[in-house]
Amino acid sequence: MGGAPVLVRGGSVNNCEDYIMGNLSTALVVVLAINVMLFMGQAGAMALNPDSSPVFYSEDGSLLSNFDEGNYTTPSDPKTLLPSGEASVNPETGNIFTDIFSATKNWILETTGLSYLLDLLGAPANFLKAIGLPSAFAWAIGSLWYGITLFLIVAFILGRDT
Amino acid sequence: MVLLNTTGVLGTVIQYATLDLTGSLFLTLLGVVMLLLLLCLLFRIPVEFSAILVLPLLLGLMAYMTEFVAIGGVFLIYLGVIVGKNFFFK
Repeated sequence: MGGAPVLVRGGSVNNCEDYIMGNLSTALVVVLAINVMLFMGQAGAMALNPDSSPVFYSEDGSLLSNFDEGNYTTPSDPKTLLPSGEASVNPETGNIFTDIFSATKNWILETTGLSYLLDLLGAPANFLKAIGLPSAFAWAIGSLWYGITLFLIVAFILGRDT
Repeated sequence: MVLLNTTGVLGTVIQYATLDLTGSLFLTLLGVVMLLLLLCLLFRIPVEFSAILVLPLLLGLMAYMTEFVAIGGVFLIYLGVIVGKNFFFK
């Protein structure tokens, strides 16, 4: 991983900090690729032993399930995937002043598709738990990912790309 | 279908390795996987290339033995990271 090793004073330094978790699109691609590899692994295991193969990955709730229209077909109408959110404040039960903020926040999350990016946060912990690793280990790695990715999402909203 | 056919040469090797060396089929097969990775390290082959051999082996072992699911799952996650990094950002 990382780039080609660079010779620095006779030693070799891997300049991997250039793109390990460099920006949000890297995180998205990595999570999608992990999803795909786990899905293919599950499909391969099921093909080898259809009777009693262990189930370690379920497509439900993962990022891939957004793109499945049943029987592993991609959506024929792509515009259903695009965000079309709207938010409103209930004038009778809600507190108008504070609800305006949450309604605005939800509207921004829905219309710009940022809520899709929020699905990235919990992904690694789910993977690690699904394949049967101890929950403490999954929590530790997951919180590491959660913290870094949350920072990237906030930076992305504020207009920085790294 | 059976995981292991003990009539062939390799099947006999695995059977007697289990009986006389390790005591459990899981440890024998884990040893085979580790041996493959060790060979790759020994000959300075990048671990990514060992996936060509190890991935089909691990998939078969995962399909028949639940003990391999965690190891194979970590391997698949590692491969996913490699695929994501190298095929989209190179």
